Amino acid sequence: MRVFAFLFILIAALGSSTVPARAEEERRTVLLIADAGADTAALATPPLTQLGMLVETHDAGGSLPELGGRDDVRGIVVWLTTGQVGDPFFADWVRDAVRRDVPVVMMGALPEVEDRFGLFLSLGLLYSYDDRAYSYDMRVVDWDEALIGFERRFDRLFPDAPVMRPLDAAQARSLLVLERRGNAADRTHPVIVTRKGAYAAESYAVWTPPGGGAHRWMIDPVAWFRAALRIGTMPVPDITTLNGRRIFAPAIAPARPADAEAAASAAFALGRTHAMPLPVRTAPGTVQVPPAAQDCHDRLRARLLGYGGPLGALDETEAARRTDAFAPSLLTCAAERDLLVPAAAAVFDAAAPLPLTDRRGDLDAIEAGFRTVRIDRLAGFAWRIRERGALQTLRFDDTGMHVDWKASQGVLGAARAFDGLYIALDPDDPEAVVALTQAPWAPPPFPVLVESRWSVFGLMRTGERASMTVEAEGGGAMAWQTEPGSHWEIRLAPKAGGLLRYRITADGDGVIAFGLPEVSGGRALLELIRYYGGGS
Amino acid sequence: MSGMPLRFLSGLPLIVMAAALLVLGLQRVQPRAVAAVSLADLLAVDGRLDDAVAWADLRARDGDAFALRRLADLADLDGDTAKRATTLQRLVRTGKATLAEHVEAARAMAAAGALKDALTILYNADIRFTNEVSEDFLSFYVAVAIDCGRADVAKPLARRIWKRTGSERALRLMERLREVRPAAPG
Repeated sequence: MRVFAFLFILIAALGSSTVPARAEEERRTVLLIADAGADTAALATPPLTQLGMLVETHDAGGSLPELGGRDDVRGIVVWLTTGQVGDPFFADWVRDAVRRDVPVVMMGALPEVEDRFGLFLSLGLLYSYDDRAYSYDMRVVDWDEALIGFERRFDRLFPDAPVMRPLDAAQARSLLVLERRGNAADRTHPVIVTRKGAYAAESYAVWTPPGGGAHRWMIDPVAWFRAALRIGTMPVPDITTLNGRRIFAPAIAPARPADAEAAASAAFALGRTHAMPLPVRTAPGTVQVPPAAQDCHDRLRARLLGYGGPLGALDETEAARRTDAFAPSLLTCAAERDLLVPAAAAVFDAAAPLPLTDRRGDLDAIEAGFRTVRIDRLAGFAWRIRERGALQTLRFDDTGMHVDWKASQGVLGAARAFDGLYIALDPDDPEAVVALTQAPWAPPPFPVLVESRWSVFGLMRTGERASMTVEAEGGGAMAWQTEPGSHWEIRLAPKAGGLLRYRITADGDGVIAFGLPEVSGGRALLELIRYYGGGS
Repeated sequence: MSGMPLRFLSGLPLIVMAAALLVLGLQRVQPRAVAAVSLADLLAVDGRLDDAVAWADLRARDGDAFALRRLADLADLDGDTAKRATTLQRLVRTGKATLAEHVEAARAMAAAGALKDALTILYNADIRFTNEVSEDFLSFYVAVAIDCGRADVAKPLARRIWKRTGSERALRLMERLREVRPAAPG
């Protein structure tokens, strides 16, 4: 009997241990091999980050990272500007990566290796040398309209490129095909994705002016890396959004390290005398400083052009895709402190009409969560989210799927913005499960959050009732998805003061949207209680 | 009589001022191209590329090489290839363009179908930068020359580079030129 009991326990233990074993962690590390000091790392990192990847940069002139024992590597991007590679076993290293089923993306200058033909063959490409250093007689015969000509079009002026063709056309996706003198036998594929990797010829991915500086993507970098690194449907940790709203997190930053003290005292003065408290961001690399500001000549620019430029640029990161939080960094020069007040006022004026959620000071913690979060793929379209810290939003790009509310856990709600489905997670649930379904859309079985200016956490809900804690600073505006036409009573119980009650009826889409007054005490208990019989 | 020298002396500053006005005042007040283009750069940084190009265009109307170069760069940044091509052509005509600018101008002209203009630019580049032209340049030169029906124009350079380098590529290009039949007169 004891033996049976022991076997039963053993089998049960084994059974339970097989559940996490089935979960496979999404690989998020991209090894970027780039020339030291080149702009390529700065160019590749934002789109890869947008895809939820963690970029690990290595100098092309140094030794290459060991691939054995790495189960976090999603892919490799080799983006060279000179073609020089320091490791004599570069080609073998690429072949090793391909053998491990790690996609290798070759971009920019061709690597200076002996067996260049063999190197590209391992990626499913046929390379041949072309001594025709001109391209005026080339014409486009095929191109991916959605991907080519992203920020700049070729306009018949093609950079010189070697002849590159797919080894097996059926296994490759050519994004741009050029033909010389109308000769179908004389074609090259300067931007191509294969099953083993991808290739973008020099100057076909990014246009750079002769003197350097402002770059323009010739190809949609997000779509390019997604295709090249074989990134399918997966939740992307999102640092731009919280509770369905874009994050507002302005800050002050020193234009140069020497201006750190000036920035700190300016921030203090702004908070004390102008009621515009702003945190100081000093972490190196977090703030992109334009060359003009490094010389503290921003005064001239500000006088001539105002602050519309930087804020306009920030607006552009909201078009087509949401690529950044609304987080302008006001650069401070010791000699130009007087410009900060109008600059800060311009930022607050610009933010006032926008549906944002104010998270001044939280952005660094959210970005830290982006780096630490672990995503385990469960069966089907479901993922377990661990170790996410202050990061509370996941995003699915270009998906027609919906949240499977019954299979999900710790999910406050979801909202669509542009091409993204933004999932708001409950900060009180450290291990959330997000599941998607391909079933047609149906009203959720309980109230789900669409968006909120206030922080929401500790949500407990049934079809009849939802109760939660809200972090209340300023007035609260929020929207929930419920059953169309259903009636709800909203009860807000601040820490100090009496209970506030409102009644609202969901519209034809099932949305209830309402504003709540500013409450004292910071936190409050909020409840949505369904009632029947209509009336108000 | 004693008042005459005094009157003359008191009038002296007025005479000097009048002379200064005649010399300096009649000169056209024109900011240096460097300062003017800096504003164009500021406009470009602010995303106002059309304004930047318009301003740089205004400053480059006198054919100043520096201003033309900036105009070409800004037109390039704006993606206005036609404007860039004509500006580079103007820059080449000033005689102050670099070899790379000659090649860029010729590439732009050739891509736009103006092969004879491209050939003229490459021919001038060969004369102006005799010792700097490379095999890549020769490859482009040979292609344009053949397409224009003027293979003869590129032959001296092909011969010179082959003599200098003895490379197979230069030899191949020479043979290509040799295979082309001379264009019929007229």
